[in-house]
This record gives sequence, structure tokens and C-alpha cells, in this order.
Amino acid sequence: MLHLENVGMRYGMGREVLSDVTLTLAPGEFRFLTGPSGAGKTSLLKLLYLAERPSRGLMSMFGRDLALTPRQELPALRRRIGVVFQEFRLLDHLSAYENVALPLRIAGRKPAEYREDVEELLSWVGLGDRMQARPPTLSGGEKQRVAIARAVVAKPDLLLADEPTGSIDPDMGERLLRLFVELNRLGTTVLIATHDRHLVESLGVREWRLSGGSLHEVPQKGRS
Amino acid sequence: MAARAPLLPDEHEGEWSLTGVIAVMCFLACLTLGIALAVSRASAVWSEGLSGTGTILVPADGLVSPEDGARAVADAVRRLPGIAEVRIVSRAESDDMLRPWLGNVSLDGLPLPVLVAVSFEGSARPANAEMEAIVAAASPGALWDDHGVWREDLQRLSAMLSAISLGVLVLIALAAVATIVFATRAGLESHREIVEVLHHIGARNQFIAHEFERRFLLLGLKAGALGLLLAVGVLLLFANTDMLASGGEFYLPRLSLAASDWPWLVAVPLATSLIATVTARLTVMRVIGRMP
Repeated sequence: MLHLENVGMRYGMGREVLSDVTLTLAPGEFRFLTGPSGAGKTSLLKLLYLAERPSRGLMSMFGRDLALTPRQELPALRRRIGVVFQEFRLLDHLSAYENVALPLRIAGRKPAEYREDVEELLSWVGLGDRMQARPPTLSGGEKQRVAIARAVVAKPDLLLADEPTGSIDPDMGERLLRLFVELNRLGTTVLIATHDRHLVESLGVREWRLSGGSLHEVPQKGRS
Repeated sequence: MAARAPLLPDEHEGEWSLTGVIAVMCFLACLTLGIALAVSRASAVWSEGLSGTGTILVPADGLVSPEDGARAVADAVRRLPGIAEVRIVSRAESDDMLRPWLGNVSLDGLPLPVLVAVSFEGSARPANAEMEAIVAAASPGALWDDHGVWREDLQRLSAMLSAISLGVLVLIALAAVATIVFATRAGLESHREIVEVLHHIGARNQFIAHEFERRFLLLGLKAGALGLLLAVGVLLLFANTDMLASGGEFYLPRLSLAASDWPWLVAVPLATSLIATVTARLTVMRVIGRMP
């Protein structure tokens, strides 16, 4: 699914924010990515959702070596990835419904084909009565739920989430985590970057920890 | 559910000023093209009129009276093949032709030459050298003018005006391209967040470019139609201005557009929107192409 080998990354001429990162994410795997603020979690996710390119090292995704993949083929790879951005990144002039439907619209699907799915998903994340609301009128938690719904609506092969439950109350956080688990059960590979120890420990799945730009596996304790 | 919202938000303020600029460019392009077409048409009509005619000038300083000389020349020319009509221009007509320059003064007593208007039919006309020889033999001192100098000057002027018009049209098109490149870049910058999100969730560059293309196509059509309407108004005003419509008393060619010229003017706003669309597409594709 995803393999990085000795990957380094820097912004412009700055210092390396990721150094010698080696990881393999197998199909169907569920992982957490933890680490203190500034450790490079968001940078690593940006690499993984193809918003940045590594400065060095090898990176392959869905069986494709990215160094050898022509640029025009990258959008098709990106459409296989669902992303929950840390700062939500919703389009303010579109309604919650249109924001969630965006990946399907980009994929060329007709509104009649996805209307029911989008409405059902929005209801499931507790926004059934806020479908036509625009992001500026939504609370932080509501925006985050719209962002999560947008990331999962196309049933991606890989789901990357950056602090997906940061602005959400614990009950809703647990409900959304169940959504991720359910997606994972249906075959989506999931990687969640979080500070939330409770979230990590509640599932007992494997965890990578980033520290000072270096990645290492956290030994598992208890159930797996 | 209502129709899908556009992926780029509406921008009324910036869009109106851009529409205004493009409309002015389109107006100038239509006006330039309209005037060029009218001048070219008038020149062609005048040139064609001149090419089938000639004038014999019988001066008033010969041994015989110019009227006798004119009659002798007319009789000699009438016998030639390819001659449609030979007409001695009356003194009253000559006076009328001179009046715009000399004013309403009496021209009686002035030793004016007599003009003989000759028109040809078909292409089997006598050569200039033959005409000159026959005219000089019939009335010593009489001169043959085939209007060649006028015609060449007119054609040169028409060609020069066409070249200038083409240059102006090219400059307007380049200015429109530069304006649209600037506006597209500004649009990309102001919608950077939207473009990045679309890019990151897998939109193809063409998909994003299409959003901009659609906006600039509509803007180009709107601005083009506005510019065309203004230009048509000005051209119709020109066409109904006495001097330009009739040629005035100085015998200028009539400036007007034929029915077959109007489609060229309608093509200007279409070309404007095409330029706007293609420019926006290329600009967006280039900018997005630089994204990681």
C-alpha cells in the first residue's frame, strides 16, 4: 500500500523536518501516528497525501514508485486517498452537503448517483439538519465532522487524518472513531495522526511515534 | 437539491472592472475592424470605378478652341474598340466640380480645359500609349489620363490602413491576453485555498482549469457583446453622418459597411471570449503545474 525508505524532507532550503523515515503501511492496516507538536506529523501526512515531495529517499504508493510516476497520473492516486486536514480546509462558499460531495464531483460522478450517500453520511455524523449550512456558520466540531465526511465519502483505499477528533466532544469522537474502524473493516487502510492518548489506547492498534523528524515503532502493550 | 454551485465563488466587484476593461478592448477592436472594412470597401469600389474609365483633358491654350478639340478627340476615340461611352463634360459640370475649391464666384472667362469622360467595356481596351497617340493626334496638347496615379495612391492608402488596422487589432489582442493572464493569476491567488484543496483531493489540472475557463468564457462573451453593441452604435452614427455617408462635396468615397461585413464584427466578441478562455486555461495549467 505505502512504503517509505530513508525518506528525508525539507521545506525550501530549511533544515530537514523528516529524517530517514522508513515505514510500510500494509493494505487494511490501522495505525496511529503520534508525537509532540512540531515533530513532523503534519509534514509526514503531507508527503503521504502527495502535497509535498520527499527531498530524498524512496517512496512508493499503491505499487507505484512516485519518483517514476508522471505528474499527470498523481491526481488519480490522490483520489484513492481520503484526507482529514488538521485545519479542516472546507470551501466556505459551498454548503456542508456540497463540501462533502466534492470528492465525488471531482471523480465525475453525477449528483443523482451520490445524493443519497452524502445525505446519509451527513446524518450519520450528526449534521442531517445542517446540510445546507455554509462552513462559516458551523462550529469547530461541526466543521471537523464535515471534513471527516468529505474524507470518507468516496470510500478511499487510504484514509489519512490529522487530529481528526481535536475539536469534537468525547462522545462524537468515539462515534467518528467507530466510523474509521468500520471503514477499515471494509478494506480502507487508516493512518491517524493524533495527540490524544485516550484515542490511541482505546483501540490498541499499532503506533508510530515521530520525534525530532525521526520515526520509530512504539512497542505494543496489551491487546492488538 | 438545487443545481451544483460553482467551485469558485462569485466575485462581483473585481469581475465588473475586468468586464469593463475587456469590453473597452472589444469596442476598440470592433471599431478598428469596422473602419478598416469600410475603408477597404470604399477604396475597392472607387478603384473599380476608376479602372473602367479615363479622362481626356483638352487644354484651352491650343490653336483650336478646346470645345472643337474635345469634339475631335471624342470622335477619334469613339471609333476605337472597347469603348462604352465618350462624353464631353459640359462647362456647367466643370464649374460645379471647381466650386468646392473656388467658392461661388463667377468662372466665366476663365480659360478652363474641357474634359472628355471615357468609359470602357470589357477587357479589350486600347493601350495607354495608343490612347495617348490618338488623343494627341486628334487635338495637339490634349492629354490622356487613365486614373492610374489615383488608383495606385488609393490602393496604397487602403493597404496601409489595412496594415495599421491589423497592427492595432494584434496590439489589442495582446493587451487582452496580458490583462486576462494578470486577472487569472489574481483569481488563482485569491482562490489559492480552494485550488489547493481541489488539487490535494485529486482534481485533475484540467478540472480546476475548467472552472476558470468557464468564468472567463462568460466574462469574455458578456464584455464582448457590450463592446460590440457600443461599436455598432458608433459605426451606425458614422454611417448616418452626412459627409461620411455621401462622400461629401469633395467626392470622397462613401464609407459604409455591407451586410457581409457584419459577421466579421460579430466574430470579435467570439474571438475575445475564445482568447479569454484559452488564456485562462493556459495560465491556470501553468500555475497548477508547478504545485507539488
